[in-house]
Amino acid sequence: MLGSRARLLLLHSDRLFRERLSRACAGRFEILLAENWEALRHSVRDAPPASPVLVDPYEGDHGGGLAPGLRQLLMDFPSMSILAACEVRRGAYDDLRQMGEWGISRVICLDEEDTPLAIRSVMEQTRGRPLQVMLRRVLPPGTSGRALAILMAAADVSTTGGGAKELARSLYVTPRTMTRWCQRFGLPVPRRLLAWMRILLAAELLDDPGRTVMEVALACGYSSDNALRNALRNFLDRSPRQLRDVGAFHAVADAFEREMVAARVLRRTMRREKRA
Amino acid sequence: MEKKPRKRGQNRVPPPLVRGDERMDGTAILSEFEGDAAILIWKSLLNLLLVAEHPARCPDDLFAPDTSVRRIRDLRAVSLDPVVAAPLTEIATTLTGPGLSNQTRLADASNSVSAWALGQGATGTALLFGQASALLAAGDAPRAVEVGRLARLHGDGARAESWYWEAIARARQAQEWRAYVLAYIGLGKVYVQRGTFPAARRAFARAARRARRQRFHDLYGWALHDQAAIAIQSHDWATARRFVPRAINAFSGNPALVPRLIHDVAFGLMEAGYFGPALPVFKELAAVAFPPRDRLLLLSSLARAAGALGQEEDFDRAWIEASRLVDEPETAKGAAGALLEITRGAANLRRWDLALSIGLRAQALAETRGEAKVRLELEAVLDQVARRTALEGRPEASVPPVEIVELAEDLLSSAHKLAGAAQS
Repeated sequence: MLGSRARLLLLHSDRLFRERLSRACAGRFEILLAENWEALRHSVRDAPPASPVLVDPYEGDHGGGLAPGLRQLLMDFPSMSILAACEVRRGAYDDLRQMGEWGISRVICLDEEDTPLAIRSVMEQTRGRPLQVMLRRVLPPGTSGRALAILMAAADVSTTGGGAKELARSLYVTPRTMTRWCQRFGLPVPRRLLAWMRILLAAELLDDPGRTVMEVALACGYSSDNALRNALRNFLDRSPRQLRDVGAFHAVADAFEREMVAARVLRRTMRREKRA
Repeated sequence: MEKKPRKRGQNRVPPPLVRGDERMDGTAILSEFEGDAAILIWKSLLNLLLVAEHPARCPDDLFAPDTSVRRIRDLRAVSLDPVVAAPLTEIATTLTGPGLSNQTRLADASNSVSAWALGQGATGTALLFGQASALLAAGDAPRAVEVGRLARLHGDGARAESWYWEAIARARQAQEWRAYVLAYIGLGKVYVQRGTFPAARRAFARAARRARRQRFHDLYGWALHDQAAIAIQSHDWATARRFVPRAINAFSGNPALVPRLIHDVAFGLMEAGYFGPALPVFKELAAVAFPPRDRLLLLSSLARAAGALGQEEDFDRAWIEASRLVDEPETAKGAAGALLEITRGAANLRRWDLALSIGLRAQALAETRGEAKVRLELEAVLDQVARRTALEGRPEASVPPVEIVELAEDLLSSAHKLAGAAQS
């Protein structure tokens, strides 16, 4: 279940950094240390999307430069928030830029901002980033800024298994205001909105043919593969296999967009009727 | 007086968007700059974001003890433009000293980096640092308005919209009405770009109401100007005719703005295909003094309208003067767009070789300046030039609607007054 197995997956041989990380994670994450890139991949495959992954981007014996294992990890697990922790010295521009292009969520500069508070802050800020980025890329350009702000918060909250109360809290409003905002800005009500986020996350994992439906379901916080199947049937009237055949994430994103459009049209109609 | 930051939950707006579709913070900096300079600018941004997230924390909680010393050493070792080196050094100095609690100082330094980056054409970097400045100075409405503007310049309409709403909330709480009006005007422009005209009209109307109440005549004029612009875009000539004289009147306290307003309305007529009513207005305005960039814009509009109406002499006069202005540094920003209009004018006259040469020049400028919209339009125009296809029609077959004739007469009369004043 998302949040109930709060794990941080680590591949980093700097002992001092690991100590600071332990202090940063105390009480929040269980740190799973991998020995090498292959071991890390195994851990990532079994981990929920909410599990941050923290690596030394140069780890391993591969003749210098960024580790090929890092690139492969980012390509194979686009829904994971993968952070790099390393020294960023003069001359590192090309590597830094490359990491950004590959999809690293954040670089923690060792010996500068690697205090426990800084590390904790960075991890909290980046946990929902993969889903946020995916959403921003598929939503139409005309999506209102205020709706998008709520969607970004929803993506963040749903990644850690939060509910409607957590969503409202994250935006510093009451649940009642949260519901009003969703209606006002053409979004489904909070509970349904978060359900959509979870389905989008599941869809992203379904697009990985190496994962079974059960693995996807458990990773996204569903109690079983049937629970996921039921959710997909309720929202999209399709099975996991049918979604996989057509590209699950884009199919779900399209359906979500259609529901948003319908919500906006309904709201406009109600306003016109009220004025009349 | 230190402004009290707005408490979360006191205002009913979602928080502003702080990133686009990039995964890693500061990616824009690494795209717009290179080498060690890029690294130092990028690191400074990350530091600012961390401080903004934890405003009450002391330096030791956030940064390693010698971060400041090492950063200053690195800044001295890299060849940086002194204009940006100063605020970056200020940020570095503040990181591990008592100054960390002075968020305003950091916000100002961040603003300076933003302004410098914008001057370099690095709109992404400018936006990031402008944003950091607004996050550090919670409650500061003008900074939030500026972020909205930077986001629009960078082409991120959703982010711009969210920051304008943030600015409105801040301005309302602090009763900073000028920022309030500017935010609503900015919001209107976002909605216009999105094509949601009813929302744009509402935003401009709110801006106009508040500007009028606070006697901000210049802003009142701009809000009316923008309302007129929507009316013209929607071909609602009667409404445009209501707003234009009021806007001109509102600008009476700042007459330098009036020629630009008249030009913009005439340009709207031209875009709607009414070259006949627009050309005399442009010609009348040509006698008025404009700053170089606005003059180039006027000449390009004149050239295009003259070309569409087959007026060779008017086109030639406009082109000769424009070709001199295009090379001046003050006109660099609008030069590609102006040359695009002149290309249309030349093509309207079937002067294909001239149209091609001007168009290619415009294309090179647009590439250099990263003006994607102009580049796209130029591609379409040059394609028609290559195929020798007529661009825009000759004089209208039918008489324009009476509202357009009357609107054009209003504009001409105002332009005539300005020209008369300029000549006396």
